[in-house]
Amino acid sequence: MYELPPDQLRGAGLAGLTFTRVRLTEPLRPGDGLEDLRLLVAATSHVVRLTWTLDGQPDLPVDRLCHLIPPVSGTGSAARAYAKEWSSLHRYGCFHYRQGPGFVIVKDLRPGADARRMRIEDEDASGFLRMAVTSHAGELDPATRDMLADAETFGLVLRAGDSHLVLPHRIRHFPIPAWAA
Amino acid sequence: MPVTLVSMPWQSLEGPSLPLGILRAVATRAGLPKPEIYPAYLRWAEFLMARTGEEINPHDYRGIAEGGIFDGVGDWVFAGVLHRDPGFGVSGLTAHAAARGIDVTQALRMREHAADFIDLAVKEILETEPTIVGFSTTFMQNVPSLAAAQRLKELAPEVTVVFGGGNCDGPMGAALHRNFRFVDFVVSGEAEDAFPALLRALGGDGDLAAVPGLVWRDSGDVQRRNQQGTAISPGRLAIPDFADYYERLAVSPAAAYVEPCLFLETARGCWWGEKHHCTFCGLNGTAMAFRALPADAVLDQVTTLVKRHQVLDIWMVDNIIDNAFFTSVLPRLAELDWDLRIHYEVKANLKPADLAALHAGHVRQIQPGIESLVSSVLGLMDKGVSGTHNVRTLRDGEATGLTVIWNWLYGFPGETPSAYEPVLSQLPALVHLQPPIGVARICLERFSPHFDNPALGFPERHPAAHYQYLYALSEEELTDLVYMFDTPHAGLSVEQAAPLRDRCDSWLADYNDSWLHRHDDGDAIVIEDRRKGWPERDHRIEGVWRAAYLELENGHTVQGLHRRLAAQAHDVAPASLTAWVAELKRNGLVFEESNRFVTLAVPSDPVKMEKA
Repeated sequence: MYELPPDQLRGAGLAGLTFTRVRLTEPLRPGDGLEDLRLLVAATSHVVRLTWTLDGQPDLPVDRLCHLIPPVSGTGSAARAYAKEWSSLHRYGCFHYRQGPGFVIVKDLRPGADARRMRIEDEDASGFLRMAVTSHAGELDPATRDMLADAETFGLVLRAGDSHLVLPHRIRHFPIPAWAA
Repeated sequence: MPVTLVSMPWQSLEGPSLPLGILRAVATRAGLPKPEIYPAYLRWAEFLMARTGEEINPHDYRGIAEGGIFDGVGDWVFAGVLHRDPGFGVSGLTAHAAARGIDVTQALRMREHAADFIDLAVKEILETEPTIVGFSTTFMQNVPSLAAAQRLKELAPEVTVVFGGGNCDGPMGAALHRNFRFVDFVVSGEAEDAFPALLRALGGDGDLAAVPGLVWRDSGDVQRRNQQGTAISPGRLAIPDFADYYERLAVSPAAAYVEPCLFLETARGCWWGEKHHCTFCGLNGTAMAFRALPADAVLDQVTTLVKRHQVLDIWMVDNIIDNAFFTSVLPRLAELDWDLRIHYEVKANLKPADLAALHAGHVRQIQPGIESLVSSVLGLMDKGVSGTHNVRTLRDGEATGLTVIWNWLYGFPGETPSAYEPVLSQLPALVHLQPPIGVARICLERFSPHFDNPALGFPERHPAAHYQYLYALSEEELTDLVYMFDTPHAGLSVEQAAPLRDRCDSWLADYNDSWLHRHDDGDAIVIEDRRKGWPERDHRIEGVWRAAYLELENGHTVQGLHRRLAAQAHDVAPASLTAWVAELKRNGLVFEESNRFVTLAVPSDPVKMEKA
């Protein structure tokens, strides 16, 4: 088990920490901007065994975030209640995407909505993948920037000011059993 | 000469019919008109949903397709139609199922709709205006195919009916042809050569007597059986043409229940079976000779079909992966930055590097044919692996994040309860490793050594009991027609097998909540024990014992371990080593079988989940 502040984990490159247990020494505030959520999306994608505490209460309904590694607790009663519900709803891989040649498949099995399986093709797929590896609209070409609003409408992207975040994580590691996700 | 190829229930809904995709491709390659493909199995799922307001849905279909094989439940759903008697086999199979603890409630409900569906399916087949209709039949597709063929002949006697597939291999094909006159032709064995040759012969360009494996009636109405063809060489295996199946599935009401998959074949036969045929296995039929596609062809097939159909899940139907693929195919699959999820059957004696190569090549699920953890029983099977080999595969599969699916088989002639006891007592120590998905007494299968050689312990055999509820045929005819046979029990009795079942039930229940994780910092190994049923504790292993532990990951006798340590200049007295290994075993940190020990802790934490 490593103990790290969030900023150090952000800079560590999560790809090398797959299956590693990391305890964050400071709480995360996924309700403030997108950067803490971005860390959770990346950690979930790389299966970093993260132990973290929630500070504040995100505006989003918890069932929109429950695909991400849940907090173990919260810093106040509201945060603790939110964290508890997040943990109870969490199911690894319940909102993820998979990359193929010229297409992307998004699978959404989060509770509170009908199960969805979307296939994004051609230019839309490359645009989606571009959004997934960037964080600011300025990093996108005009055509992809134009897609952000639609992606947000479909619940695939969160936006805050000039920032954006693709909410489903890329599934790099399938669970056991592999067909459970 | 229009041809329509039909795949009846209970083909998997998740993908197109591989045999029909291959036949379509070989017909096209031979310059013949492209056959139509009619996926009757998908239409059946849709029909049931519509008829019952989704009270019967693809989950129920899947329940029968995956769980009904050994009792013929899927065949039985259509038996009333075949015999023009809605009550045919109902009381018999219902009683049989009750005795076996099988729920046939949904199957009974499906029977009510079977006749109407056969009428619909035949109507839709005839709308394609075929002159030839081919049915591919494997496992439980026999009775539904026969029911549809019979109805088709009633409505269109001029249409030629051809059967092929696994259910037609060897004597089964001739028996099928002999007992069901509405079947004009049966192709036994591999059809890459036979199918185009048959189409040409029926078109007046060739001789029926020259079609490999063809069963037919001559002008005197006498059955003729051509010799089956030789095994198709790997260079002649075709990329299957799945036509518009996926587009059709996408707009099907069944789509909401189905995650599409590609069923592909990269090798046929079994290289292990060529040398040591597992005594219980009949899956390769008359085609044991192992043939694998060249690496370029595998890559071409995977990349072409993934791009064409935009599907990332691939189920390889090979009975065993080609060993050459570890260096020729998997590294090239690893280069694809695609999130594939591939299933392969493998041999159980894989090393960690082999498992890593599988994982890197996007293989996420393996079926290693583990079958048992008791070496003496594995010996009776001629599996060529030991119990410790199999445990090591479970451990390393877990460490690699691979799903390992396996069944525990028992009932082998010569096995004894005393051989199981030392293994059963250690199963609680394996609770963090992937449990068997089932515990089952072996069935006598046609083409297996047990079947072909009664001296191996099954001299008395009869067609499996459920077949009498599917066919109105004599035992003599059934003996030629069917694949599974009942025998007096060998090996463990029902009572003697109960502890095995109980232990495996507990294993399955506790697996998801159990961890035995080891961390090695170079100076010491720390093993965190968080297994259900074991005290929560951390074990620290350092110095010479760390070296011993790392050696033991490969599996050794105490004597062998001593030799290995001595070769590394570690001087440990044999008595100390014996005592240390015994201590590890008391703590459930090693598995012992036939005096060999193998460690159990896993160096990584894969994600474990309940099945969705």
